[in-house]
Amino acid sequence: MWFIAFRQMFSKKKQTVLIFLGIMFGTMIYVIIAGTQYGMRDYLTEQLLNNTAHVIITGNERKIDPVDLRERFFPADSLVNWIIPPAGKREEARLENPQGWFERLSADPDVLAFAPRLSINAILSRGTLRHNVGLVGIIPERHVQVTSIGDYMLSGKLDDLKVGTNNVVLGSGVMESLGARVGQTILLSTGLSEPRPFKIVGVFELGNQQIDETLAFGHLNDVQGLNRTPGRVSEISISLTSIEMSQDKAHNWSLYSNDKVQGWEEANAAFMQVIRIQDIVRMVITGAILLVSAFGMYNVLSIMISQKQKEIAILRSIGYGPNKILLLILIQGLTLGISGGFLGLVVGHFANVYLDNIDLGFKIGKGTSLLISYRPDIYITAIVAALISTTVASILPARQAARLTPLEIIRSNL
Amino acid sequence: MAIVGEKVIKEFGNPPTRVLHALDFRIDDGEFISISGRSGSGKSTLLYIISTLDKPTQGRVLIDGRDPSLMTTAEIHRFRNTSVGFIFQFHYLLPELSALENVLLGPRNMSIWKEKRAYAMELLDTFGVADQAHKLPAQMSGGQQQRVAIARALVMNPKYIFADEPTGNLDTINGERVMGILLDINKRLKTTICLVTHEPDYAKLANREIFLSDGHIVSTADPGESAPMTTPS
Repeated sequence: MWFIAFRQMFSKKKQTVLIFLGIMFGTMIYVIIAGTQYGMRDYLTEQLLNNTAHVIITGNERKIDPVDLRERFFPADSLVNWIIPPAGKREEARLENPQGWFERLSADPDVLAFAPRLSINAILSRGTLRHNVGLVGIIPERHVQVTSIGDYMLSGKLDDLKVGTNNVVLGSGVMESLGARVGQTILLSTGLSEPRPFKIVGVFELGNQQIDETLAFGHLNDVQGLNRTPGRVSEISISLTSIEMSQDKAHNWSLYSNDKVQGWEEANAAFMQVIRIQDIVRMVITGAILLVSAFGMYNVLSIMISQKQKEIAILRSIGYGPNKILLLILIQGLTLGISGGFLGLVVGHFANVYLDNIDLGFKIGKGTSLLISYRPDIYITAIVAALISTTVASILPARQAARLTPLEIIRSNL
Repeated sequence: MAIVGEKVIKEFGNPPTRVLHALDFRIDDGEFISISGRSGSGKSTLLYIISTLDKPTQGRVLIDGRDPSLMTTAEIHRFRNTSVGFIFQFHYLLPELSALENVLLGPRNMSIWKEKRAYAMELLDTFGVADQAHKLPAQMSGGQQQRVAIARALVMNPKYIFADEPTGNLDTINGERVMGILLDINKRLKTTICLVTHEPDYAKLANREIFLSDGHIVSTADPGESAPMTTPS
């Protein structure tokens, strides 16, 4: 059947080329769109995980509750009408029992690593220059196990944040604002405390301007000392053996205390919504393209079958059974689907390589070109989608052809 | 061995219209019979039933003692492939294949086209179209295409040739040439031939003529004889 199928395909060159191009473009566009979207997504996810880890445990902010005050100061069932209702925070958020968490996490086999942190706001000053930052107190050897911040160091190392040395690592944007250099000393204050001198021992750059201009790291003990809150921890970042279990783990742990336990997806719900919308857009675009090409293929094969009814009749009358007629049409559809799909993968891949090397003139991540992903599942999804659409598009007319009996055709042509 | 029809009835539509009325007939091996009659008399319908392309509504046809309606699909297709050659009014050549490739369609289905290639060329040569072997149907005349179609019907050395108005679309010269070929095949290869034609001159060339009128066999006799052998009941 291959011989006849190929002869029929090549006798209708224009139709064959059109179907082939339709499938090829559908596959190619999927590879390009998915490559750019996944590239950007992987980058943004990594950025997020730098700050949030797989699971993050934070202290709940305790707020003043009017009901609580009423019950404390007035007899039960008394009607209290506040002129100015009590409101506001009681104190900064902190974990109720960090030591309990450390013991629990140390004993959990699903926990790869965990790192306690204390996040506060601080004012940095160098001479007459002032700059506000989020100062994060970390234990460097633990922090590098839950984030990839170590990969983004422009100079120095996180390990240089030793206990009691009052060292600090700043974002590149902070350095620029202060006009500071590594090795210089700046003053840090929480606003409530006297400024303390800290030595700049490193600079990081995540490529996210907002973070690079507002984040600084110090050793946990030094930051606790600066904040006058020894032993306080505001959050614990946790890295799991598998990121997939982050939601389940977060849910289970949230049952143990009043602290807020969030998986990274929950903690970044808005980001995840964008990701899902991206996925839907990509699927819709690619689906539309493949649908159009599959519909084109269906039409062309259906027209071909109606044009070739006489030939099908003669094939049937000389012993070609329904299955062979089915095969004759399927071979044509699938050959176009497979070859068009694979060429689409190759063209799409090289288009991505080309896009990967275009200098856009502004910084994205570590470079200035589009962030492209070459993960295998993009190519697998693209070729599977092409094959499914072409199989469906060719099997329907193929079955239609196989059902034709020679007599029906001969009679209809009399 | 023979093709035997027993009370063959064919009806179409709903309510059913009877096209063939309880026909009894016998076609012996090596015979050349013509089935003739006016348009609408049921001659093509009878040929399609005899040739396994259609089934009778009632009654049965036995080919060498076997009822095709009881054969499996695979058996029917094998039977058509190895024992039957069809020639239609329209040649139905595959337009994207050369004359030789068209002739070899049957052998290709059985994966024996290499072995049959020389024989296919011989047939084309016998029918005077060897020089057209590598041409596409569109590059040949109607007569040449019909001769290629006859070569295709013969290439598997079938026991039976069923020809439905094979001269219907040809001019006189080509029509006579095709009839000459069929007569020669019957005489030389002893192939059983059933020819449907509405042309009396061609019908008379057969050993025996089955004449149909309104679905009844009016006569089945040597074309030289005039007395009817069977009358409608």
